[in-house]
Amino acid sequence: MTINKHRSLWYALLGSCCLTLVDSVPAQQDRLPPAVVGQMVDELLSRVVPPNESLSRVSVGRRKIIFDGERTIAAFGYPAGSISFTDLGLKSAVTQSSRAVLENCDFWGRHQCTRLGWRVYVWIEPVTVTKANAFVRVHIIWADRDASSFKEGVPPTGRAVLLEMVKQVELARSGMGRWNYVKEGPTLVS
Amino acid sequence: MQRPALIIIAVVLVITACNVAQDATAPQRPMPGEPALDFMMEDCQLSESECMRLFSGIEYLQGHANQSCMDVGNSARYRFDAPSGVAGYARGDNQNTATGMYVGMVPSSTTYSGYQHYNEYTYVNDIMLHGGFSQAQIGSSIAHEEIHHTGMDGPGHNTQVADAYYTACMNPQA
Repeated sequence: MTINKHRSLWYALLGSCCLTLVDSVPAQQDRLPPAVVGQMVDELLSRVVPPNESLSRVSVGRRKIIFDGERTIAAFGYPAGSISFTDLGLKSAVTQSSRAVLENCDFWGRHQCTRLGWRVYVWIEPVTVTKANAFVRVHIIWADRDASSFKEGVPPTGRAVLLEMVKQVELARSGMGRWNYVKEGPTLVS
Repeated sequence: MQRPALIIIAVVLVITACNVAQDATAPQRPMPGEPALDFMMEDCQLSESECMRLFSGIEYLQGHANQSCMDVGNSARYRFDAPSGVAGYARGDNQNTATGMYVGMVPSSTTYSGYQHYNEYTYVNDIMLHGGFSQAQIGSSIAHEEIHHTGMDGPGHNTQVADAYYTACMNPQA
């Protein structure tokens, strides 16, 4: 009787510890809920792609951001079509886009990049995400149009050189569950 | 004390101990983009054929009729030949970019552009190395990145200077 009672105690202890360790493993395989991804995106857009940032002499605010939600959603582990852009619940003033806008653009200035125009194409990919910290890359892509002057509502013409900045950002999760900007690493500039 | 109570207390103690161990601060990991240490003692951290493609672009610049292109070619040659760990060309660890090469930049209060390079490496993506680009295109792209290393770009992310070098160096006779 005594041995059986001790055995039960040890089994209880062993099982509790195993369950606790499983629960404590960094959740790298768990997907963030869409609304949480959206909150993270809003935080990143406000901190690293602010309206007053100048990209080849024209501010982000004047260029306007087009956000590739589909590419971002896929990068966060969701199969195509499983969630929509609206599921992100973004509060930022962005327009939905896709990578198709980059089709006639390149780094070597061989095309006019008409679909992208003056706009800034942005998408975000996670590098690592745990329960408390996240490293992400914010891809910011635009066309440099030499000496062409920006005119509101007038599509640009002429040679366009596609440029990209990739901002590497660390976020931390607060006790309330909100993801907050912590710091940036080197920005990768083409 | 009743045995069930003892078991409950023991379980709580174990759970607490496990959580404390798991919440211990993990070692600070480096930010993505920092170059891996070059243990192979090679200045160009790519395959031999890829390094030769880059080298052909550097030779193109060094033989250019435009003095500015020649000068930036010499700068790129230094980078290519530099001792391991000092400067060089490395494979980009961010192949999701839309462009062929990039330099890591951090804010600076001393350069005209407000940015300076994070290290002396130019990172090269597979599209640059295997996209069928000419010697002139590779060399001119290298020239563009060399301008980033000097911090000569315009304020903010105005890459007009780097773009001008690309354009000028694309024509070998300019």
